[in-house]
This record gives sequence, structure tokens and C-alpha cells, in this order.
Amino acid sequence: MSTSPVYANAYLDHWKQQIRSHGLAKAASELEWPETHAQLWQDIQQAEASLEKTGLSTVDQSLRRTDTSGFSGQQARLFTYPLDQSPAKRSVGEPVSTPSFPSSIPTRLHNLAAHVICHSSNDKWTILLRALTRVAAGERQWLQDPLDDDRRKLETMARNVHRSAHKMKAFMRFQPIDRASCLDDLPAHVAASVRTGAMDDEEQEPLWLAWFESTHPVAPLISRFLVERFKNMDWLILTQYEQLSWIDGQLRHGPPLRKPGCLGDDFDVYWKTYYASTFNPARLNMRMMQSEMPVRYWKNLPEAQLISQLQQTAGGRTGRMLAQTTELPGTLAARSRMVRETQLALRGASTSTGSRPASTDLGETDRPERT
Amino acid sequence: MEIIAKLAILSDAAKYDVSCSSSGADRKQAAKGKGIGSTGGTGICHSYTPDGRCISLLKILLTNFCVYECSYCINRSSSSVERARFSVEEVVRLTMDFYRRNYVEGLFLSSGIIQSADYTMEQLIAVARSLREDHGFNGYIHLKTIPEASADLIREAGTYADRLSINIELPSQAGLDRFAPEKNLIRTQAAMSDVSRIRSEIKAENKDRSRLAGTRRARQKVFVPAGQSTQMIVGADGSSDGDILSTTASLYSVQKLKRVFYSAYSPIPSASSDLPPVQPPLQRENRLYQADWLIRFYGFGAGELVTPAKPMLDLDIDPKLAWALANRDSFPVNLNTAPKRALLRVPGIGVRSVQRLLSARRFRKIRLQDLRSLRLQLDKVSPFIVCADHHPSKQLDAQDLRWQIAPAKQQLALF
Repeated sequence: MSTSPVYANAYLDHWKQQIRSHGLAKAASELEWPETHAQLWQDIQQAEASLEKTGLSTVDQSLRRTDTSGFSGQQARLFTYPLDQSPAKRSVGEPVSTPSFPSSIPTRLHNLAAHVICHSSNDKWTILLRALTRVAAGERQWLQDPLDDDRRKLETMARNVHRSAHKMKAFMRFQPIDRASCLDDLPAHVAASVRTGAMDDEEQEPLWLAWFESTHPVAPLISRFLVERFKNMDWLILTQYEQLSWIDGQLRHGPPLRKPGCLGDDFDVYWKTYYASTFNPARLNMRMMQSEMPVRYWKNLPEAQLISQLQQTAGGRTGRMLAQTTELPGTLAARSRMVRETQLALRGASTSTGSRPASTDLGETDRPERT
Repeated sequence: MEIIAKLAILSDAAKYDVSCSSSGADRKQAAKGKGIGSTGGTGICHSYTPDGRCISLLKILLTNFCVYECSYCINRSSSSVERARFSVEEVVRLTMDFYRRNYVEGLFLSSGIIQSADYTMEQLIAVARSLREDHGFNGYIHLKTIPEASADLIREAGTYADRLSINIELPSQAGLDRFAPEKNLIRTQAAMSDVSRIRSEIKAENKDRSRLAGTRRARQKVFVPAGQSTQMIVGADGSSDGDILSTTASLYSVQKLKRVFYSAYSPIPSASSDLPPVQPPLQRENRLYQADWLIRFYGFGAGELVTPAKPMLDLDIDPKLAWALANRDSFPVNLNTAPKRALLRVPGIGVRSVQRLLSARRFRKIRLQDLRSLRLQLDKVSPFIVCADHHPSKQLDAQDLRWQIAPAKQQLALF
């Protein structure tokens, strides 16, 4: 079994096209990701180099050169060799000397691969390559079998990536920034938009900035979601793997930048107030919380600063609530009785259907005084 | 009062309503111009509080002033909690500020009853209308419906909201009479039926319109796309699980609800002395959710899980295992030949695993090792199944099978 960057490259290109055809009509046509592409290319080369050491690689050197030029030249196609229209029947595991990309990829594999390709581990190339080799050899049934080893490995990786993308949608937070004050931390194309904006007299809308540490490089997977939801905002998302921005209706994907120094949102105090108030101390369940919001996300979530205090005071708060009924002998009960009796009398006096409170203006004016 | 103080009071006042889901709606993207927001799929939980519950929506009351006197409720008229009231604009602004920061999927707005049911309902609608019309908000809106409000208002609420809910609170009128005398079970169910009738009428209208226009893209009316939900409080009155589940079953089949939520009665500040000061019955709540799932996705009837003779679900083992232990003549199930509905009844095998087994057995004979690959709990599953290399033989008849499967829990309960 060999690993081949040719396969991986061809696959990348295929994947990109698929995203274009399924993706946003407008945004996709402007989708740019050369830097990440190059990054992936490096990953592939590294993966291959390590495999070469084990004596497993059989990649044709001339093909590899073609590929490298494909990446550096703007117009050059990524793979210049002909696609094999009728996949040769090959037995699995046989060394591949002239790799041929399958002429069509089953939807199930495509859907899995679109996620697997965003996995941060290099094992993905070995597994994807094996999957493609099997498909090219005419083997397709294994994709229907949930117990097939390769499908299970692909599914596990895809599931991890899917979860990672879901958590990014969930835990990534935007904060409004004044572009000028954050200029040093912004990529060139964002900084450029400040200058254009400054030319106009109109007040410039804020840039919404997010710093998020994702478990896999998943920004491309959620770009469509983000654009659809926050279409009329300008935003920039930075992660340790990549950057994704939507400025003046253009989606851009590029290499990572350092964590900006201009993070921090005064509005957090509202969110933290909400978080603390919506927590019910009588139901404390840290294990459940951590299984859904693992500790590794906490450092970028402002509300997470409150967790330990909420946890520590939960027992005492619950105890006080439980004791309250006995500590306030009679007062509450008496007040409740009074309200009930008044309402009952009002209902009785009403000539209407009787099932509905006849007078309902007790609320703000006749409300019993607070203790 | 400062907005932030109101936020503290009115989110605290809203937290005993457990529903926070944002699933089932379908507004695919932000509207043109200044619009923002989208809904779809299963919704997103944007944070989790230390009680393990999801924060998906900004869940607040418009006001916690209330003329009702429901014993279990923190906002009942006689409660000594601090009161506050948001203006419509304040809720709208908070929702937008939260949404832009990606804190939430949208708004879940409820209210104490002030002045009259209609007046209160109008206030809730005003918030939803402003979000949709003034701000092009396409995020999720869940509105609490007041069953006493007029039909026109409920219809209007449904054009803005993704979900409407009316809380049934307690499963019997006797319980309501005692603890929530303003509430009427029949009226609540009638209001739910109204909403579900309007939903199906509008669906039919939309279908006709598409057919006449010859395209699916014909302008569609929107009415509560994510349907209705409700909540029952568990452990406040003497209702059994049987009472609760039979009410649940009819809410799903008659009123066509999307979800029934169960809320363990929880200690509240300023609690009524009519109700026991106890820790919330969380395990019981969990078993009810499991039973609810069995009814909705596994083909179980409420009457199979609880019976007049045994009206409470077992707290120590899950209701599916309890059913299997009580119905051993339905087992063992052969994983290689049994139909789907039989596989769905095997303890420890979920809907997704059933689907995988059905696909996999077209290619191979299922063996125990395959169950490990699917990460199934073998000690729970194996007594009830036959596969290529396994037969439970007499294990299924063992008197102590329950303790063989769930011994640890039982020991914990003893000490």
C-alpha cells in the first residue's frame, strides 16, 4: 500500500469543486484558499516523507514535480494527468505506479471525505487513499457496510470533525471592534477595508471579530452557515489553524494569524449575568456540563469564569431555599391563602364562564407588599 | 431599573421552564438589507450552565408580575421575589445584541399574566413582530402562548414564532385545581388543538398554492414551523408516571405536539408551603424522558411501560430494560433475522445502532465482536439476543438477571 500526494491533490481539487457546486452561489465564486491549500500540500509531503522512510512509497517522481508546479502556478491545474474514465480492476493493496483518480466518487464517500479532509491528523491521507484505491478498483459495496474497517475509520474521523465544526458554531463568539483601533492585528485585506471605509463620511459598521481555538481546521465546513446567518455583518474569524473572513460580501479563507491583542467585549457582563441567572443551583450536574462543554473551550468563553463560583455556592443556595419554607412560618402561606380567597371570590362574583379569572388587575397595583 | 438588573430577575424567573430547544424551524438565511439570522436542523447549544443544561435561546420573561397563584411557580402572586418588567424595545435590543455575538439561536419569551390574558399576549407578539419586521430577524423565536388569549392573537403569534408552547403543568385537573386554580386542562388542550388545526390548514393552503403556481417556490405562508411543545412538572403533585405518560401520549397523538418536556419540581426561593421542600427528582425526570423517547421513536405504547398495577417507572433501570425483563417471552431476538421493530425493543440498542445492524447484516452474519465494534454494552444486550456466535440459553430465565445486568447501581442504592 502506498500513499500518494497525487491522489490527495486530486482529491483536494475535487473537494473544492464540490464545495463550489454545492456552496453559496455568490460567495463560492470568490472562495479563495491558496494558503491553506499550500499548508495541506506541506502536510501531504510530510506524511509522504515519513512513509517513504518506511519504504512504502512508490510515487512516480515526475508526477510529483508536475503537482508541485500545479500548486505554484496560478493558472495551472492541480493535476495534469488524464483521469481514468474506466477504473482499472486492481486488487487492494497492490502498489500503484500510475495513480488514477476514480472517475466518480460515491456520494457516501464524498460526504465522509469532505469532513475527514479537515481532520488535524495525518492518518487521514492513508485512509482516504485506501478508500479511493478501493473505489478505483471497482469496490463500492464496502461503503454500504457499517462494519467495514475502512468505513468505520472514516466515520470516526468524520464524526470528530463534525463535532468540532458543531462546537465551533456553538462556542465561537463575535465581538464588535473599531477597525482602526485594532489595525495591527488585522490581515491586510481587512485593514484595507478600513481605509476604504474611512473615505466615506458615513459611520462605519463595526467589524465583528472572533478568536476561537478549534480542535480541527474546520472553518471551510462552517463558512456557508456563517455567511447565511451573518450575511449583513462584516466579520473575521481567527483560529490557530486558519482565518476566515466575510468583508463587503467577499468570503476569504487563509492562513492563521497570531491571537489579536484587541480582544475583549464590555457587553460580556450582560451575557455573564444571563448565564449566572439561568443556572438552577438545585440541579448542579458538572459532569453533564463538561461532557458537552469540555474544559479546553473554557478559556475563550467569558461565562466560564463563573463556573467554579456557581458550582461552589450551589449547595448552600439550594439548602437555603429548602429551609426557607420552614424559616418563614406562615407568612407566605397566609399571603397565598389571601390571594387565593380574593381570586375565588372574584371568580364567584363573575357571571362569565367561570373558568376564567374575572378580574386580572391584581398584578401591579393590588399586589401584596413584599416582605 | 437598570437593564442588567431586569435581565438578572427575568432570566432567573424564566429558568424553571426547561425547554430550550431551537430545532425544527427552517428560515434558511438572513433576509436582505439589514437582516440577520437563520434557523434549521437540530439547533445549537451555545453554552452549558453547571446544571448541565443547554443554553440555546435567550430565555426570559417580559415581566414576572403575575396575577395567578400557582403554588409551584416562583412568580406566583404571593411570592416575595423581586419583580421587574422589560419594555418591548429592551427585549428586542437584548435579543439582537446576543444574536450578533453568536451567544444564542434566538429568543424564548414568556411572561407572567398582567392586566389580562389578551394584553399579555399582545405584548409578547409586539416583541416578535418588531424582531421580524423592524430588524429582519430570522433567528428562532419561541413564544409562550396564554391559553385564555383570543384566537386571533394566537393566530398572529404563530405567524412570527417558530414555536408556540402552552404549559400543561400538571397532568390532571384535580392537580391543577389544587395548585393552579386559574388553569384549566381542557381549555389548554383546546388551545393546543386550535394551533395544530391552523398549522395543518395553512400547510394544505401552501400545498394548493404551490400546485396552482406549478412550482414549489410559490410564496408560502408561515405558521409555527417548529410546532408546539409543552411542559409538565414532575413531583409537585401526586401524579404517577402513568398519569404523566398517558397525558403525554395523547398530547403527541391528539394535539400533535412536537415535544413534551418534563421539569422536576425544584426548590425555589420563596417556595409555597403547599409543596414539599425536597431536592428535585432528577432521576425520575430522566426516566420520563427515556420513556418519552421510547414512545416517539421505538414504537412503545405508554401502556406498555407503566400499568395500573405498576404506575411508576423503575428508578434504578431504564424503562426499556425494565420492559424487556418483564416481557422475556419476547426474547431472545435474532439480530440476523428479526424485523426492525423487534430490534428496536432490545435493551442497549439505540435507533442508530439498529439502522447499522440492518445495513451490516446484508453483508455478513452479525457476531458478538461486531456489537463491540458498534460500541454496544454487551452485558446489557447479550442476554436478549441471538447472533452467529451467541445464544443466551438459560441466562434469559435467570431470576437474578436484573442484578446481573445492573448490579453496581443497586449496591450504591443500598449504602
